[in-house]
Amino acid sequence: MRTYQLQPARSGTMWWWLLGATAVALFIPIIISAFLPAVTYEDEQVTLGYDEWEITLGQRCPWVESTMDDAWDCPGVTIMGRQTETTDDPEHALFRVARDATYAAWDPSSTLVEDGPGRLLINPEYPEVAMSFQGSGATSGEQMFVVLMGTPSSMAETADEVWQAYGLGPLDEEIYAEIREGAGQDHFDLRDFLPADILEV
Amino acid sequence: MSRGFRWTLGFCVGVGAVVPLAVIVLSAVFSPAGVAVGVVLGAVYTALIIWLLRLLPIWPRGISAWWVVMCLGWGSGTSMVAAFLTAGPLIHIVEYVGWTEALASWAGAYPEEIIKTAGVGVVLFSFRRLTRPWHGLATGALIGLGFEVIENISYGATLAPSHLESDVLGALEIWVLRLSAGPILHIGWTALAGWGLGLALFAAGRSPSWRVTTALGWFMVAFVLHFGWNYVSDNDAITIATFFVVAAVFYPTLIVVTVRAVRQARADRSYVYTEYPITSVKQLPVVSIMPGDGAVDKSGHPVIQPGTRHRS
Repeated sequence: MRTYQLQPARSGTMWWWLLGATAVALFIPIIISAFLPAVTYEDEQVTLGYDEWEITLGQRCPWVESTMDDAWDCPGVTIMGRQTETTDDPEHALFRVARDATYAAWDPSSTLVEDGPGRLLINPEYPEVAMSFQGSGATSGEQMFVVLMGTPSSMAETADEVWQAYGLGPLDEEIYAEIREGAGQDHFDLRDFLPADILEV
Repeated sequence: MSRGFRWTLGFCVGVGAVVPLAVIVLSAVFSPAGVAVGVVLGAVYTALIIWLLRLLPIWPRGISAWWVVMCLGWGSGTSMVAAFLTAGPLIHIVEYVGWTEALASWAGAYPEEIIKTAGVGVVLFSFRRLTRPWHGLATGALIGLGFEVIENISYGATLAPSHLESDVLGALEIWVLRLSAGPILHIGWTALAGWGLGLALFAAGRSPSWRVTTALGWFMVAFVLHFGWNYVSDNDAITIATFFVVAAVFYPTLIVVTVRAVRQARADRSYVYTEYPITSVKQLPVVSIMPGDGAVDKSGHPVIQPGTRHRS
């Protein structure tokens, strides 16, 4: 008795079954999704960090999980937090966290503010502000990174709130103004290259 | 071998080839070092797995190198296209339903296992020498290898910048994590699905319902294992338990199936191939192929040399 058989001589039916079933299976979710309304997320109190170092901001925004980055999606600003162990070079780490959030190249001459355990970085190329805080006492050996992306005014307000939440005073007025007016000013914008009459339509 | 399947395979792999190229080029813009690490490690990993597979008798004898190229192309390109197209809508549906713990399970397992298994079917029908169940296993392993490598390159390069010291360390960390905490996952899942498809197509004397049940059953094994592996519960204990249960089922199953396939391949005396096309009756051997009879290759398959005659 034979154990194995060769491929069927005529495979046209098999072709339709295999590829048809595959196409149907893959397109079903696309079709179902097209008929579903957009998902809305409930607002929650914005919190950053965990354990001894959890802080709460005044805003209530939806927490949006994605496959790559989870973030608070607040009006005008997206807030990402990341708590890690301290590293040998906190300044280098801050530049890397800031780059990781946007993949935007960083100008080494970007404004970097240092105030005790806090550092703040303003990206001139992209609307982004990154901050880091070194822990002490119960949080010794830990560091916290906060990255903001959004409109300059919202970033300035949120940066000031975060800065104070981590025990530092209000942001220096010059820094606040620089974020409000300067962050992302060199960001590529297609509108800069289009004729004005097109933009007015 | 089917011309329709072969055209389909060429078209899908040709179109899908854009994906691995795009992944590498786009990732290189963000993290050249991360991509460099991924390409080098990916090449070494690919060569190592192919070398290991070639040592086993499940490797189809006399198969063209195009088989390897097409399997890797389907895994790294065609499968990725389908995954990109379907993952977004699946995430939308799962979020809408509110089952966010299974977000990665549906977005990953559903499109990926379907398109990889379909690839095994298309490849099996495209090459004349693929005629045994274990050829489905080997084809699945290669398609899974293509998928796994391009996924690792992509994750390695994309997540490399998140390392606080350097992109090279970041990419290495991702590769080590993915290869140590769950090695050969895609290779194994698609191999199991391919084994089922191979049985369904090449086992003799079976009913149509047995073939359909076998193919779908092994596909479901791959799907459920992938689904479970990607499941992230709000309860860490459940996530860790799921992780161990899946590993405890997956690796032994893969080992048992591979051992069975190897034994069946070694025992198969009906698999004959000639070194050259036979063009004259003088080359036709008068041969009765019995275990231990005539010339055999390293795996025990009878090998008929042209111009020679074997008599029982």
